[in-house]
Amino acid sequence: MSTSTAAGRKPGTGAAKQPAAASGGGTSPGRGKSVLGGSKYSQKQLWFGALAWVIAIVFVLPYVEMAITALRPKDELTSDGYVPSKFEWANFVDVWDKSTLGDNLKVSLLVAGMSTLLVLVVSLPAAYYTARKRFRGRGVFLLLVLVTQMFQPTSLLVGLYREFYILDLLDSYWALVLVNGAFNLAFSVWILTAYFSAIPVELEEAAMIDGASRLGALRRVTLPLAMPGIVTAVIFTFIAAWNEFTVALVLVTTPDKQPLTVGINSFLGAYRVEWQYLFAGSVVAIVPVVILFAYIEKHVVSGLTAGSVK
Amino acid sequence: MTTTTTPARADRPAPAPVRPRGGANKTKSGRRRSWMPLWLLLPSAVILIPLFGYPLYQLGLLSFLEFGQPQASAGEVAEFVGFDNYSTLLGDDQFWDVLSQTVIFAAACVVATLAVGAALAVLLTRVGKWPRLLLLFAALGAWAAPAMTGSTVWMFLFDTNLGLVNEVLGMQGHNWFYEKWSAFALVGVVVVWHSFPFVMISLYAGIESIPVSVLEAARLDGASTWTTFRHVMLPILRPILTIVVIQSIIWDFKVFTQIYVMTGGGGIAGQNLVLNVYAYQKAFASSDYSLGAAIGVLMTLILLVVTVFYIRALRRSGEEL
Repeated sequence: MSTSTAAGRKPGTGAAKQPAAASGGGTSPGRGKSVLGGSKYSQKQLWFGALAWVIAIVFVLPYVEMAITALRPKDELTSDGYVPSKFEWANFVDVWDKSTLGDNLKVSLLVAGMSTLLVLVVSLPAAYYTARKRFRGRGVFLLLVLVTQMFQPTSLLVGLYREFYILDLLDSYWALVLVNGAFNLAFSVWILTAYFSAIPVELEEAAMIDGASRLGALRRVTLPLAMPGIVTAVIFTFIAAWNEFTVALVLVTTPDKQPLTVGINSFLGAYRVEWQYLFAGSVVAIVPVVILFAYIEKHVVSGLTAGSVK
Repeated sequence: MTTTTTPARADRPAPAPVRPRGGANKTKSGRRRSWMPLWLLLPSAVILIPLFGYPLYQLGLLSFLEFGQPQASAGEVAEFVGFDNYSTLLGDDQFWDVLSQTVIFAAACVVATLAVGAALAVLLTRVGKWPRLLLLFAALGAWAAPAMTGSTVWMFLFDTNLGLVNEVLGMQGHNWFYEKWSAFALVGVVVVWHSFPFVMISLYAGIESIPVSVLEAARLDGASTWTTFRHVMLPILRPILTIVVIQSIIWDFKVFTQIYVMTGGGGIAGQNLVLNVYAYQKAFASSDYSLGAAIGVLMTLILLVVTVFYIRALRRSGEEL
């Protein structure tokens, strides 16, 4: 995952534009729209539309199933009727009382929040420096950061376990904060570097000529302009840490110290799976991240495809 | 976009006019240049060295030691055994089975993810506002959700007795996870469900960014739909495609959660193990940390190869690395 200020598709566009220039002169374009969406395509478009609806519904179906099951009365789980006779909101209360879900939620919020903070504190200065200076080893630094992203903690699990055993931080959410912070640094550094690079240094200089201090210029000019990037980095990190499962599974073994993802998994380990509780917990785990993600989706895409999409 | 100008050292300001490129390099005096010292990068090092470098070192170290339960908890001295763990691993038939099914599984997931993602990206450009929004919404929900909850809900959909799928198909009692490849296929569906949105949305954005005038020109020149796609759209989309492909390879090769959750830690008699889960089982279920570490090292090496390709692709698309 990376970002860039360089427009990667420039050569392609350039090559494609030449025939446009060559042929565009003689012919009058006429109704410009007709090339893409004339009336003779409408029949086709209708079919495509129907297809899109069907596919979208299939993809949403798991969530419908999850929501309905979460609200299904316990004794109706095996009955034939698809629509439950009533919505059992008490399932949410029950799962809260009977399991460690409340603690798990607290751990998830804490871990995701703190690792996001850690990422921000570390990546903001690094990204600003990388964007503004062409220093020796700049490429190596960006590369190293990228490599940490590629590896992700899963292949390093044994090493991480050993490290936190030595540090006596097993079974502590601090371990999760540190690991999630470290392995999500790359996305932030890259996307923030791209945003900072796009802000002309002249803007900062102008503010300083007008009497602002260096930090004042940063605070009043640069940071506000980079805000979309910062928000994206924050939300992306939060979601990644919130969704993380493997490291938490290995490093934290006490049920009430585990984050939601691992807590939900323990419902499966039981002798008989209580699906309605499992999905009540799942809804709690999903809703916040989907809402947050909807907010930053556009920026994430441009960030993930290394500046190829602009 | 390479900057090969002599890098200025913090202590010795270089003469300003040598630098040819853009605003970032423009400095009015040497004093300004030294304002931002390297310590702005220090926090990154403080985080990455202990949390990336050190575990990597431990991983490598353990893979050359005899390190099991006695060493881990009773504090017995770990003995250096050279490449013994690796030869044990490479001499084990199960390892080769796991490796080959990891590669097959990952490859199938990558192909399916790309096919679904690309097809839907094209579909998105052909439909009206409402189906497009709905499809984007569905993709969003699949993308953002934890792999954990995605796995459980699909497990439930395909549950032997309670699942909606079996009910609709009239196959109550059929266990989808009993047969090896049927279980893999089901896990694959979830992996694809989680990862197609990235491909779809990236490609959709790429297609949308192609200027209408370019396509129009191709059409006026008499290019068929296929020729337009092959010679106009594909070259423009190539950088995005490359990155999307490599990212998918990296993700699908590392799948852990879906396998672990859906097949209960690797399936019946370990038939659905992939390298990640295999390493986990060796290290944390059998307490054979050194063998788990050796698997981790091999995985790291494989990922390194893929990463090299990724970096080359990034460089080609104009990244300064």
